[in-house]
Amino acid sequence: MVLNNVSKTNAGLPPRFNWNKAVARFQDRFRDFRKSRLAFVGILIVIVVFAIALLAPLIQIHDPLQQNISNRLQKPDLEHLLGTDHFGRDVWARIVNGARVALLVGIIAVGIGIIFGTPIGAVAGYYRGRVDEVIMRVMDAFLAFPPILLALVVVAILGSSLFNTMVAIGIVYIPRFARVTRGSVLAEREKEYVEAARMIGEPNLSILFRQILPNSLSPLIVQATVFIAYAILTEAALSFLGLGIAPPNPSWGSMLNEARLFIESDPLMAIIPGLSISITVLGFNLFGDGLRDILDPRLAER
Amino acid sequence: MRVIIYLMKRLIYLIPVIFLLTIFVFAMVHLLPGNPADILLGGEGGAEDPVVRAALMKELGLDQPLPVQYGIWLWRALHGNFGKSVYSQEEVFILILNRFPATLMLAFAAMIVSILVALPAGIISAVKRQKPADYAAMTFALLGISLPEFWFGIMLILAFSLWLRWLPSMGYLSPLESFFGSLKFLILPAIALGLRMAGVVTRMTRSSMLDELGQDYVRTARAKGLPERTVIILHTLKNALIPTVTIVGLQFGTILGGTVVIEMVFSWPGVGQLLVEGILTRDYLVVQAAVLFISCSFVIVNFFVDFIYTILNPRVGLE
Repeated sequence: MVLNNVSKTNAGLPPRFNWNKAVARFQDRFRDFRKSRLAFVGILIVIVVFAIALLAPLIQIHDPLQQNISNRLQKPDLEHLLGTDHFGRDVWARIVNGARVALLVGIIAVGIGIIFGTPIGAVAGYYRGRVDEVIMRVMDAFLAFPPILLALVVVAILGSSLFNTMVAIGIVYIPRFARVTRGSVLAEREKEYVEAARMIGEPNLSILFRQILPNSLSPLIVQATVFIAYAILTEAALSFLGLGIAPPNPSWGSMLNEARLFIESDPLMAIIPGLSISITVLGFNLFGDGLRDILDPRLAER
Repeated sequence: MRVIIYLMKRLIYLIPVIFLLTIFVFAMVHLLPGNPADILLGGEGGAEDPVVRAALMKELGLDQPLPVQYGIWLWRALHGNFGKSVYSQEEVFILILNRFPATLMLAFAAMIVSILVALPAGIISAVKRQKPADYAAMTFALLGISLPEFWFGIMLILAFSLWLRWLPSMGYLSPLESFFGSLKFLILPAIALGLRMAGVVTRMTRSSMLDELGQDYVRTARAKGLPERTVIILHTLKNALIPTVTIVGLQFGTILGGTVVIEMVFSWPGVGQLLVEGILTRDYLVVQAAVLFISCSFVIVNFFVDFIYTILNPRVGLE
């Protein structure tokens, strides 16, 4: 890699962030990861959910939108693995496609949070002083909204759709990522290699984005995993309230909402989507815990 | 004295946050596509009567520049004037005031439930580290942060209302009418709402207890021959509670947000229900006021949490 030749061309410069080393370190720690059974279960769940989401068109058997009123509220059988809902739609097909929605919203929302939140927090943490004050006060004001409330407000403004749900939940995570990034940049900027880079006259933005940021990625990665879990929960809550994914598209949250009317006669209709949300979120939480143990050994003994 | 100065500082620090909050809430209506007068009158076609529309335009100063409009809005809000609901034609402020006690009651009940469960669970889990009790508490905490509260609420209704028939599945009774009667309605939503916070607080308590148990002063206390119970309750717990208090304050925001969903599950007549109905019926004056009230109460609760924190941790005032 080009990065490894830095010492020849720029003699005296502090070593750039070395991706190869980072990857090697990661592989090393991955071995610890396998030792932790819970983290392994977490990874397994995440992989299975991903596989289900990716393979949805192949494994759905029925069309998730196909109604068949004469066949409504069927108990599970070989034809309909998880039964049918009040419109006679196949629940398995809707669960499988709901996994797509959940992961898509979770990942894109967190992506939006990272893309906008990370640079904001990095700049605040690096420049400190007034810039930091102003940025963080604005972020604090955003943080004064409980997450679901902020997402609700954005959906109220934009209207409910798949895209707007992602944006709404993404906005929730911008100040949260800004905070995490600011914290780790604050700690990192005091280190010697930053001092060295500054003395050589490396421009501030270059120090910040090419040296400090890659070195403060660990907490961000851990947070991203945990926030995906929260984002999935938030999407489910929005859809549950009828303000997320618009029907008839399958979302676990809206399935749960529809199931409430039939809770006494067909509790399974409410149990299945709820379990799907819970298991997926559990998987990401376990995965996040495992990642934190790897990337932040200080906490690992716990 | 130092504590008072610190708290004054924190109080001043609140001003910009609340100021920005009001700007967001005010801006909300202006970010919506269309004329604010039409939006506030219920969306397109809502302002059929040009007289009503003109009156609203004048009342809110909608023909003035935005900063002036904000000033007018803020002035009115400070006087409890949030306008009239398009949907019910009632004063928004009255609507909110009528609903707010129910929401606060639910939120605090959930907080109490979760602390009552989480503190002992966290302490036992730290003391009995890597024993079955620890694993049980950690499993509980993990489920707490993973289960969606509204699903958990539905499952509680299924189990305790529909199958066992012990508790009502939904509704609300004011504690002023019948204290125990109101408790019956409160239990299930409070448990459902408190679950997540219980999970988070259990984890936090466990990890800060573990931190403190490793400290020298604990070893000294043990070496002095103090009974283990005294060491844990009198010495360790007090210090371990400091980070727990912070997380309780932060989690209160999650609880307040959670009320929005839980109120819909249990037909609880609080501000959250008002808010969701407001969004669905495009009653934006109600939405604005509800959002402002919920977020301001979060900010204020956090201020009080800071207060408790300062009392618990004398080091804060010195920094």
